[in-house]
Amino acid sequence: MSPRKPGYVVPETLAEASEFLREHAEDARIIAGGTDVLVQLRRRGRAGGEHPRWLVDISRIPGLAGVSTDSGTISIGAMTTHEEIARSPIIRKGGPLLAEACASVGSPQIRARGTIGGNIMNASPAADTIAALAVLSTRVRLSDRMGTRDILITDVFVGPYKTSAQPGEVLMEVYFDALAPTCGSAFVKLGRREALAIARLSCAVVIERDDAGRVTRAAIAPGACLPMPARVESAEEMLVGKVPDEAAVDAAAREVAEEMVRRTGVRWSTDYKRPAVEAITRRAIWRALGVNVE
Amino acid sequence: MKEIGPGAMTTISFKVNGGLVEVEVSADDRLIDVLREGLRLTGTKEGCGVGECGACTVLLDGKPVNSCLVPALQVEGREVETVEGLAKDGRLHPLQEAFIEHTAVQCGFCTPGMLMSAAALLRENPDPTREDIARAISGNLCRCTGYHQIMAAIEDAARRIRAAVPETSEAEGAAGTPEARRE
Amino acid sequence: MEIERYDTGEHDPREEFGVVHRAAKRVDGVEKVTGKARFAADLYFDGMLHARVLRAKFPHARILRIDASEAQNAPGVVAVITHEDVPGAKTFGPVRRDMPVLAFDKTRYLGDGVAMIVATTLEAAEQALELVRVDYEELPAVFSPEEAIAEGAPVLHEDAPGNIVNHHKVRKGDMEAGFAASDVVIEREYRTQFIEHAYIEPEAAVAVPNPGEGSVTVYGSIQNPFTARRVVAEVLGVSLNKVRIVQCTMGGSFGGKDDVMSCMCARAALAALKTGRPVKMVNTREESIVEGYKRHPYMLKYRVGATKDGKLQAMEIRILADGGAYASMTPFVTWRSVVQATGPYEIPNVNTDVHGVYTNNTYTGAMRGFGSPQIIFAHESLMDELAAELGMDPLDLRLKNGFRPGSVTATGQTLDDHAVSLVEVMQKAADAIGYREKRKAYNEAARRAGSKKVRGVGIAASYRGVSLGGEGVDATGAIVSVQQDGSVYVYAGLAENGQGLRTIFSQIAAEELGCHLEDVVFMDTDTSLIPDGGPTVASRSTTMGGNAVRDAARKVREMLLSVAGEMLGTSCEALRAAGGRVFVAGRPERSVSFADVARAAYSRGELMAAFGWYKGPKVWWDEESGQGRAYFTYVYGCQAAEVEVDTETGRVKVLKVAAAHDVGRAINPATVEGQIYGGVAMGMGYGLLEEVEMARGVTRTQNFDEYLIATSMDVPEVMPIVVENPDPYGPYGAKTIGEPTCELLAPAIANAVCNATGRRIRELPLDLEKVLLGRSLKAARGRRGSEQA
Ligand SMILES: Cc1cc2nc3c(=O)[nH]c(=O)nc-3n(C[C@H](O)[C@H](O)[C@H](O)COP(=O)(O)OP(=O)(O)OC[C@H]3O[C@@H](n4cnc5c(N)ncnc54)[C@H](O)[C@@H]3O)c2cc1C
Ligand code: FES
Ligand code: FES
Repeated sequence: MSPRKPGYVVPETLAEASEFLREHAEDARIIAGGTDVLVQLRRRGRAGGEHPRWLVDISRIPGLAGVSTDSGTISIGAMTTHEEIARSPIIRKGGPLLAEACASVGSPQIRARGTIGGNIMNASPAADTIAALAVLSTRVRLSDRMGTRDILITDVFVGPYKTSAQPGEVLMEVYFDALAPTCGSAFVKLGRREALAIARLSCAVVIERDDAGRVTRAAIAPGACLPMPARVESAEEMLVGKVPDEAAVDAAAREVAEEMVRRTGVRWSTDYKRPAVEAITRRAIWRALGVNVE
Repeated sequence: MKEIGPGAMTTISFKVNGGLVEVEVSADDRLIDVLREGLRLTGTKEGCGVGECGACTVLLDGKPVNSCLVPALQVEGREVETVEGLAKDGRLHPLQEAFIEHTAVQCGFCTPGMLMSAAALLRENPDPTREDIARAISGNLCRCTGYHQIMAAIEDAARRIRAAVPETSEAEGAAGTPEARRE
Repeated sequence: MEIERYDTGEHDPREEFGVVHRAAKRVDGVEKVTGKARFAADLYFDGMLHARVLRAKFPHARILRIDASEAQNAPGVVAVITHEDVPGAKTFGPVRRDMPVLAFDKTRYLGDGVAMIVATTLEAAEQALELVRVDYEELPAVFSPEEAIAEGAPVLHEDAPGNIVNHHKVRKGDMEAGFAASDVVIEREYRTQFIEHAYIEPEAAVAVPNPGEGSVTVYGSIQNPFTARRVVAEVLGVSLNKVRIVQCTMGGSFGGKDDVMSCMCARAALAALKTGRPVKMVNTREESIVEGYKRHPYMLKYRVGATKDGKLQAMEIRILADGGAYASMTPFVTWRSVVQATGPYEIPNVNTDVHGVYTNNTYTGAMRGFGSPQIIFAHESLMDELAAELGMDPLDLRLKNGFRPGSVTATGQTLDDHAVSLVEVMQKAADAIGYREKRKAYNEAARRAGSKKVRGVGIAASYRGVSLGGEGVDATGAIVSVQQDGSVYVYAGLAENGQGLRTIFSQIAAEELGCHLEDVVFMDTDTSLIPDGGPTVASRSTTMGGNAVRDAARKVREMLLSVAGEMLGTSCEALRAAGGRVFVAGRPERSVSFADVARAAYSRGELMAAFGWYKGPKVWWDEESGQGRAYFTYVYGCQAAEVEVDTETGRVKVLKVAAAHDVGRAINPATVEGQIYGGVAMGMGYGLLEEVEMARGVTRTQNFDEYLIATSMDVPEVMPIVVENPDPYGPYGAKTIGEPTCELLAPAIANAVCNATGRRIRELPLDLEKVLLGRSLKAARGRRGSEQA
């Protein structure tokens, strides 16, 4: 066990949590499902690093878990687990790629405990839900003692494992517009094995087309390869207004790979990632278009 | 608001295998520590401590979880099931029987966790496909068996349970409604 | 082709058995499924203390000073132990005594223990570790065998100049003539990686001081209790009978709980004697991976010559094995490599050199396979490469050169006293996977441009010497003891490692005695009860231990039959024992129950227990010429794999595996199948997923988030094909199955990937990057919480 024992508080309301976090902003750590926090505490303990003085357990605050829908907007409480999201009929209908992303997380045990709030706020570049949330143009609601603020999911991140949230801010929920039935979407993940696999790469895509088959809206976000999760607009633009054919899809996929290299610079892994990102993106686009090319 | 100061201990109570227990814990005790060290329920094993091997799998309110990643304090008032609770009234659970008969046990270190993942599956899905089974135990590493005999055992146990239980009472232990916001 | 079946005379002529040769439930099944089985970490004693080890800070450094005074006074700390507290030998080792129980002069890898804290709680011990001050003088280090043997390289052990652990060779025929007679000569280099046993139970031991000076009992997850006993006694400086080792239920071993456990037992015993209290030690997974020995990485250079029509003429082999910081089993592991390095092929001219080399990496030692997976990856890749060069089918090339009855091996041994079933296993595996049709079809499909997922098939074959071979003492014992109610105890000197030996030995005892399997209880190995039976290694358990159990059981049976003869009024020659009864042959109604015979024997004061002993048949080895009868018998195996390669991501999926293994006789077919499934999963990991990455002596893959083993969703469909050609030496003709199953799949996959893509990969594992790019890209694999560590 870790050498320094932290304290532990279990707020019963968001207000209590906010109040405590305000007082201990710098040395408190929120804990939800704990699947990231406990691993990190163990690693830090072993490396002799600093421990937070307080763990703030938000799991007993009512109203933070569950999926609901209201006039076309789907909201998911921060404490909702991957398993609940993967099974939710609302999500499977209005954001099926997010259900796919959650179903691809870790193992049944991890999905039963890990929450969407934790997945976002841990801010790992390889977090599986983030790319999916990005293409759904998700907004997140953060709350502190002063009130709440809503920001775009992609504005949450300022670097690997770093968020723009203020110390003490709690993620309450995320929400996005349900995809229209005419929308295609896909989440494709490449791991080294079939389960318990950290994403080597992933890609999330949403595509909307008109009756003529022309793309009216495209959203593409690669995962696990950008310094900060983001959509690649330059690639999206290459599809909009077109009836997508092989050339257009190839071009968009290549653009995602090029953009990755522009953002990350050439690294040890670029030789691998450039072609692989292109392939994964291409597959995700085709799947969003209803074509299985694998 | 419950508050346990740094370094302090507190008493929590929860149900283990149907019985209520009270234990002293501190903030960095994990559920597995409480089970093994506190309650001497050593059937639950620790293989990695980071959620990867599944040897520590127990059911928390019916769901399989890695007890090495659950802070003990989160278990207060909840219900835990471990491998020690599978056999009832001196009779092995059908899964336990099937594991023995199908040679699904070699060294046996992964077995308790494997059984708990399988038990969770069968409560929710009494007639799983091979794929369902593979997925249900995909968080439980086994180095000895290569999994095939384990999957065969689970399939067989499902068959036995279905044969023993009349259709109507199968709802017991079915999944909660994920849509409902937790109160 | 028909394979000749040998009538060996020795083995039991009955084809009908009562208990062996059929599926039997594991005798330890119930404890294990109820959570009652006691693993070492599950033991608690009154007043028990906990100990933790401070590890080396540098992979190679001189220790100038250890100051434990502050730690000594920390809360909860009962004792701090360093090398100065070792009363006996400071070093140990199975071949060379080069490994310190606690480092004293130098550290040679990061897993070395420098000091130990013994405290009332684990936490107190852990916290006090930070208070031990160690002054080091960092030394230049070597991290690969090539570096280690270079001129002027830093030396790890004074008595091993040039960092050479050992050198084995094989010399046969005339190399010049062999290559001159060849129409085609190719030269290739292969590499294999460090891999981890990855037993799910980390190492654990509890030492309990006994009343009386210097006496201790150690309970642990110990593969070889007798080795552990010797090490503990030597370190404590006491005689062997002062140390009792009790083997707990083992959560897997695969060769990995030997030296590392001897060391842990010795440390725990030191702590128990120093404090006078029971002391528990349990490694975390991270410690287990950092400290525990690995499978050796090999660098292999092969040069092979053949005639146009594919007859092998000459093979030259140069191998460097990374032994890491300590010799451990390297001399034995590399010996098996040198014997089997050509693969199961007749080659008139062979010249092989294998060097084991010290480096400042984690040391390497015994792991399931024991020096074979590396060479099989090389020679089986080579056979496919040579076939391509010759324009031949790889299977045909193997059939043309493969061992047959009467073949002579590279070490000059004529294979004439057991069934040489290589051709049989190759054909069975190839047929089961549909090798010939698919090989052709996939080649053509691959040539068709545009397909992103391509399929391929490949095979690999091997022969494997059973038991210790020409370099070890090969004998083991067992006790069979019948109780007055007809129940039976079996004790054996070879230990259950999780592979099912308890069940197999119990089956053998029941078969010989004629009692029910349920009446047999197999006792955990306890070194105070049974003589030293040598190690549970080298595919020797079933053959050696099984024969010893059989010997003991037969002796008891003789006594029981003579008692039964008197009871039934007939001569004991006319009697048979089976199914819990003793009866007159051909007249089963004239019978008495086994329990009644036992009762009668007891009341007559008969000796109801017997000691059995088995000494392996003679083998010999000449170090100079590298020739000899290396092993007394061999097993043959072949695995065929069908794979699908994603040509855009490098992801390889193994779809199907056919695994044909000659086991002599399957004492328990369900166990044999279990060994095949498990071995195939491990072989797949070796081929595709597993690698302990070492960066300048630092283990980067420290837990199961980075060290990836196959999950239930990764394992392929497996077709186990159990071939039975009873062996003259094994009990009921049984040989071995555990090790061969894990040594073949990696090359079969590499060959299948080449069939699918045309790309030959000569370095394991075939990860995404290598398959896509044809070369290795190394960096951290992405661990959870990676920013924090
Ligand atoms: C074995 C294993 C496998 C895994 N596999 C995957 C995988 O395949 N894909 C994947 O994406 N992830 C994976 N993870 C990572 C992890 O499970 C997920 O990120 C999970 O969603 C985290 O949720 P949690 O509730 O457990 O978070 P916690 O560990 O409780 O918290 C994570 C971080 O978020 C903060 N936090 C949590 N909730 C809030 C909130 N409401 N407001 C503000 N801050 C908050 C915490 O302070 C902490 O910094 C895996 C982890 C493990 C151990
Ligand atoms: S010990 Fe909990 S998952 Fe391995
Ligand atoms: S039986 Fe040994 S790990 Fe599964």
